[in-house]
Amino acid sequence: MISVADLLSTSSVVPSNYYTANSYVRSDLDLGILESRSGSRLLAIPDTLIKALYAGLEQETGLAARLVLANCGRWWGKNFYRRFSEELSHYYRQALSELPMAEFVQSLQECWVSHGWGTMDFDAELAESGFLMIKTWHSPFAAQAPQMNRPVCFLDAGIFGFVF
Amino acid sequence: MYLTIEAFFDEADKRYLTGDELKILGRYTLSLPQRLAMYRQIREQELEIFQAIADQLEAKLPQETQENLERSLKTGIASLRQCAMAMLVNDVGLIDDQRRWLLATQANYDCRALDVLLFSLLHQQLERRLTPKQFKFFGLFYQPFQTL
Repeated sequence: MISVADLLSTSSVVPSNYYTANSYVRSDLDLGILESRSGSRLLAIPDTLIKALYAGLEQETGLAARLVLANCGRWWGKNFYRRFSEELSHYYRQALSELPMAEFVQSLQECWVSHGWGTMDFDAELAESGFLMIKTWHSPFAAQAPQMNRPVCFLDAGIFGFVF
Repeated sequence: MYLTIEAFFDEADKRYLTGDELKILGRYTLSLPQRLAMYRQIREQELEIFQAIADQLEAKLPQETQENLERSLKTGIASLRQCAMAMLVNDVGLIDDQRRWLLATQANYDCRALDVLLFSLLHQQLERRLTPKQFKFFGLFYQPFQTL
C-alpha cells in the first residue's frame, strides 16, 4: 500500500520543472542584474552583440572562426554543465549520475529553454551506429549567423560536445 | 497578478496609480481572503486528498507498478500545488510550465492513461471537499489538467 505521507516526507522529492522561466529567472530592475533562482548571475546578450561577434571573428580569424566558436562552446559548456549539475543535484537531493535519464533529459531541455538557447531534442535514429543526434530549434546563434551556405551553430555544438 | 503588482512597484516613484489600476488592485485585494482560505484548505487536506487517490488507484489498477503509481502521484501533488499557487496569485500562466513538464513525463514514461485517471479522481476529491462556489472558481486554474 502506498503511503502518501512517505511520499511527502522531506526525504522524498516531488519532481517538477526546476527551470520554469517564471521562477528560474529573477531580475532586479534597480541593480540591472539577472540571476537564477540559485543566485547565479545570468547574462543577457543582445542580438547586436551576437552579430558583432560573428563579424569580428570572421574578420580576425577568417575560416578559423568556426573552430574558435566551437572551442568557446566547449569552455562555455564546461561551466554550463557544472552549474546545471549543481542546481539539479541540489534540487533532487541526489547526484546527477543517479538521476533517472528521463528527468535528466527533461531538465536539460527546460534549462536550455530558460537560458534562451532555443529548444532541443534528442534523436536516437543513429544510436546503433554510436551517434547521438541532437536537434535544436530557435537558436539565437543560428538566427544571427552570417547567411552562407554552410553549417552554423558551432558554439551550440561545442557546448553539446562537452556535455555529452 | 503578482506580475501586475510588480509592475506597479517598478513605477512607484514615477507616478500614482490610475483609477483603473486601483480598481484592479482593489478587486484582487478584496478576493484575497477567499483565495487564502481556499489555498489553506487545499494545503491542509493535501495528504487526505492524495491518500484517497492513491488507495483508489491501487484498487483500480492492481497490475500497475508501485514505481509508476508513485511517480504519477508525485506529479499530481506538484500540479495541484502549482494550481493552488496560481489561484492564490491569480496567474493562470504559472500552470503552463507544469503542464508542459507533465506532458513530457507522460511521453517519457508512457503513463498518460494513469495520469488521466489520477486527475479524474483528483477532480472528484476537490468537488467533494470544496464548496460549489470554490470548486467552480478553482476550476479556472485546474482546468488545464483536466484536458491532458
